[in-house]
Amino acid sequence: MKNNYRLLSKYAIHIAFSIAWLSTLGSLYFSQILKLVPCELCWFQRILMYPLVILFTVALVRKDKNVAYYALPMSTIGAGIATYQYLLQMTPLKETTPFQCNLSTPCSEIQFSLLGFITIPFLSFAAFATISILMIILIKSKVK
Amino acid sequence: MSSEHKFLLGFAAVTVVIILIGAFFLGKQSDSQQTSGQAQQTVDQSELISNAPHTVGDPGAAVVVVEFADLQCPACRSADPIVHQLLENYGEDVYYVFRHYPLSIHKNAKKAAQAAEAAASQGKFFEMVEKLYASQSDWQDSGNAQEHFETYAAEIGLNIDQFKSEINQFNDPIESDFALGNRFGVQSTPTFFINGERYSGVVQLAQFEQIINSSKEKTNGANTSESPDQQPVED
Repeated sequence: MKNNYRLLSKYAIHIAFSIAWLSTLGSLYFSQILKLVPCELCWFQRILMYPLVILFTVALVRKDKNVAYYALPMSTIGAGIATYQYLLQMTPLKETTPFQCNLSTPCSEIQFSLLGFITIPFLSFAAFATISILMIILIKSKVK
Repeated sequence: MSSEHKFLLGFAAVTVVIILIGAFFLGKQSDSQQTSGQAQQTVDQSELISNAPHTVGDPGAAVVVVEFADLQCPACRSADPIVHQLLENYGEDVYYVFRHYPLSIHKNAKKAAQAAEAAASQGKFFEMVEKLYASQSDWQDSGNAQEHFETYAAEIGLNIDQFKSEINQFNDPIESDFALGNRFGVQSTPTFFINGERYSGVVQLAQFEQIINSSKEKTNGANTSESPDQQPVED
């Protein structure tokens, strides 16, 4: 178990980078190839996820574990927004009495879903949460 | 406290103030849009009602209600029974005009509008609109919405062959309604113009009634103050 933990902290930035990279490409696949128009909350999550690719690239090149202090606030906020959007999609939190339809996509709309519960905000939350956990592991490994 | 901390604290304080001011102004804006009676602006409605093919009631009625609607929009669907109730309660006081405004985010909205227009050529526009609203959840995400529309056409007694051949023809009236909406600042559906005043979003029956009653009062008030030939009081 301890070995796994050490392995994880050694490769945390690599794994986090891969997740951010995959999330970025994945989101662009949804919007540019599948033509699913991003809603407002999706844009906020993109604003937090895309820069992580750049941050982790620099961190890998510099071999800098301090990236955790910069990435963790971003991934935490991203996880929060993703959670909120997921609740909008899945719970009565979304407006049950519609008032108007705007020119932009409503954030409660489920544009894609797998197995009935895996929607795009779910995937976004999974990515942000995993990155957050990896960053916490990184910080803890520095403290030792 | 370090100088960096003071710097950030200062910015945090300014940010909070900006957010509070912004929230205050946003609140005022949405209040005026959504509370009864306060519309955004009054427009010259003559263009909104001229050459209108889909209407209910007497064009000379006291209150003119023009609705820009998207048949795939859930809000328009929930506004529909309100409009029905309105026409039932105030039939002689209201002239209702339907205008198409299919949003691009609703992929089957334009097709639905065309289906309604094809039904109109056989004299059953509003019957088709009812069918489309009622079964919205069935066809809204369908990859082959036309199949659904043909079923509805059959259900309301239309000639299916004529319907099928005509459904793709009626693009112009929809485009011109849409352009009309854009000229008058329509950006969402439903958008109502009640005697020229624009209301975005679903208007509740109570709000309609208030507007109708106040416009009736205005008309009555105008009548009494202008009444000629007042008889002299007898001794």
